[in-house]
Amino acid sequence: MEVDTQFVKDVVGFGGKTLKKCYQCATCSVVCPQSPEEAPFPRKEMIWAQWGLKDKLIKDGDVWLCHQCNDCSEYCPRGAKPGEVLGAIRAKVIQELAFPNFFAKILMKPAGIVVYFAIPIILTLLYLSIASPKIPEGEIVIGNFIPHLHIELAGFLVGGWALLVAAIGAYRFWSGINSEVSKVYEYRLGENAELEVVKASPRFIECLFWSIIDILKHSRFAECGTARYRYFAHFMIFWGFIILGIATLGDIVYLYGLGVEELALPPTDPVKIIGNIGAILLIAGSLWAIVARFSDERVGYGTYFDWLFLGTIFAVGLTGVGIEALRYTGSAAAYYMYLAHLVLVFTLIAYAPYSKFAHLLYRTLAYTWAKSVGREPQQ
Amino acid sequence: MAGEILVIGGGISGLTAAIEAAETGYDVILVEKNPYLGGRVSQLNKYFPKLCPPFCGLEILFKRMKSTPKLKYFTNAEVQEISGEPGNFTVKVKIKPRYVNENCTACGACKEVCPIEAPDEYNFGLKKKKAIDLPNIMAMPFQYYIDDNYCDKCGECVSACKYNAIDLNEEEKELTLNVSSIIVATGWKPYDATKLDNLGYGVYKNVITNMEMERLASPNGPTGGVIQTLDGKPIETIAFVQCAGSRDENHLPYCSAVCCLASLKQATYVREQYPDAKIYIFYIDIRAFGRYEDFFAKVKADENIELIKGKVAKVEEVDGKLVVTAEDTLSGVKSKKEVDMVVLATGMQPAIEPIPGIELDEYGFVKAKPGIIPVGVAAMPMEVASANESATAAALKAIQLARR
Repeated sequence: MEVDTQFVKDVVGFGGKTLKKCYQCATCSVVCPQSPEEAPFPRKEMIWAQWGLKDKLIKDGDVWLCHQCNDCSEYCPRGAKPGEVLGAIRAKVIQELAFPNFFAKILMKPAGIVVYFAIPIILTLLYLSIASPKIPEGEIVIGNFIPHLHIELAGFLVGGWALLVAAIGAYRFWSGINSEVSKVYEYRLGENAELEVVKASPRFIECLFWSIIDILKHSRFAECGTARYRYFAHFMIFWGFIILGIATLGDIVYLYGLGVEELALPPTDPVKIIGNIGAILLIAGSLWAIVARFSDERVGYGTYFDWLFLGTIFAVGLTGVGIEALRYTGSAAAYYMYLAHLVLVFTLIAYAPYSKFAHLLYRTLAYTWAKSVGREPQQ
Repeated sequence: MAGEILVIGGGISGLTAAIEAAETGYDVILVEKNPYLGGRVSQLNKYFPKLCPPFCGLEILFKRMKSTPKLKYFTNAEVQEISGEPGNFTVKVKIKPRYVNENCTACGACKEVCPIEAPDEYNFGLKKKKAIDLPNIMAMPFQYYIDDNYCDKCGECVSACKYNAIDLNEEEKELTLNVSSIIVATGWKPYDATKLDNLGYGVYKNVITNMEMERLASPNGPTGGVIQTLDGKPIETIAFVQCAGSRDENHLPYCSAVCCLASLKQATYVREQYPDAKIYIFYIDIRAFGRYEDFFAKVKADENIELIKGKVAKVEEVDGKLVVTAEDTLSGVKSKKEVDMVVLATGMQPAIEPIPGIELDEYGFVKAKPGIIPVGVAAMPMEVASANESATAAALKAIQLARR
């Protein structure tokens, strides 16, 4: 077991500044609505983080079962805010799992925002100088400015990159939480009192299926007390994304199934209606989260890592709706808004494995792992 | 009258300070808010270090007090305001009417006719009293008193009293004292356990506080000393919950110093009455300082007393039984225990209300300043032995000023 003092400093820097106040009374493990009976969290994570046991935390599925309800922080007698500390640990773990590691480190520093925007802006400028698209005259039609094919190609490239990096992270994470180190209890008593090794793999598909159902329903979030709003806000953002995904599929069907040549759809078009519902959910949900964090420190004060992700989602939603509004008013500014939107969408997708977006992956895997080893909270 | 020493509070610290100073020949005035002397110690079943019943120490003090003509005391008396400087303080004291004078023989005829029943705060409401009653079995002075909060002045007691001891028209008095120094021995009150919303106090009947446990165990308490659930059932299992409000930034940020020992002591109360009862003590750290380590070791040796390292953060009622939950941090497993009764080791909060002229710290404890000497729990959480030592030391400090 290795002690990594830099890890402790990083967790403190990523928003776990109250970490060292913890005196291990374990109030948190009991008031947490998500915590299982055996080896409950977050008390053990608090001491692991205090001691700099990086390896244990990287291989700990439990930090991903935490939804930062902050019931623990509310009842913590020391103001150690385990909810915030676990959020910081997750940020640090995302950084550790991401490939290449140095790139993750750059992006997670506030100064890294230069790189964060420089890459897509340079790429966009490069594209503009090579393809030199002209601002079209007359009716605003985005496809006349930058062809759909180009966007699709770029999408495949950026998405492919993100998937590749995510796959590396997923592999590292999954092998970590299933390794010896991660197992808080390595054996459990079988039916005939023989010891069974707790292993995750055999029921992977089944557990993954039910985990996805849980995620779609947000059933874990629904247990939250103090940060109850997060259940609703996250639900809106999450379903906003899914509905926008459905709308995008609709666009693809229009383009390649029905042979529609241009996607400048009127507001009454069913696909446009679906898209707008998704966008409204996305904007409203992220706005709610932003306002809640500003107005009530108990629900989490957020860190650069959180704000960057939340801000990007909000800005993507806002610019998306902005293009649409400008298009309907006939303003050519829609094209410039479109460029800003592309830059933001790039940051959202390309950096997903390095940003808070990665929680989607690790949480889903942690849910699956938790189900397979029986780490469900007792109702 | 300059030269007199004022002691505020007639608990064991205040009594000690007052008597020690008076026995050296200085004039001492002691004022006590309650209608009796003896304070919190009188409410205990037994107290450290020797585990005596309170009669023991307090009666010795009362006897010394009576044989010291230099000591005057007032009950039902509250200090309103302090001004002046060391060696020359002016103190305004309000004396609330007791309505019963020293003619009272404590025969009890008044109580029998009194039509009004009220919760007895001395017993934390575990027992009823009458609007006219004796404060407690060892009250000093041994006189009845009328509780203004409940009495409707019907006059039944006046006609029943053969000794002309009751005057319902007695009025509030004010005293102005000129004193050289002031010993503040205002003591403590139990932290309000209803604020611990996850521990079930006030929600579940059999979740009680450690001070309520003292009354239950006390031979002059509501059950005559029989420890039982509040539905009158014997105890098979019981849980003590340490740091209920203490060492907690949301409640009392400091350690109350005595609760660990109090629970260990109360475990022995339970053991005396129930040789087979299962006793759980949930703790963060057991703080049995100094020589009390021996007592801790003795309690720990009992096989049916289980000490669990982990703070109870949930108390529920499941099928009529109380269930307490903590994480046993030594094994890393949640520990759930089904018990008949839960005793919250609630901490000590300074009892003093703000008085002009007395400075309090951020927690409400009294700050020392020239001529104003806090003692006992008015100064900081401590147990009786330390409180008495601080009281004796304070007597010397006060005398130094009185001699000037």
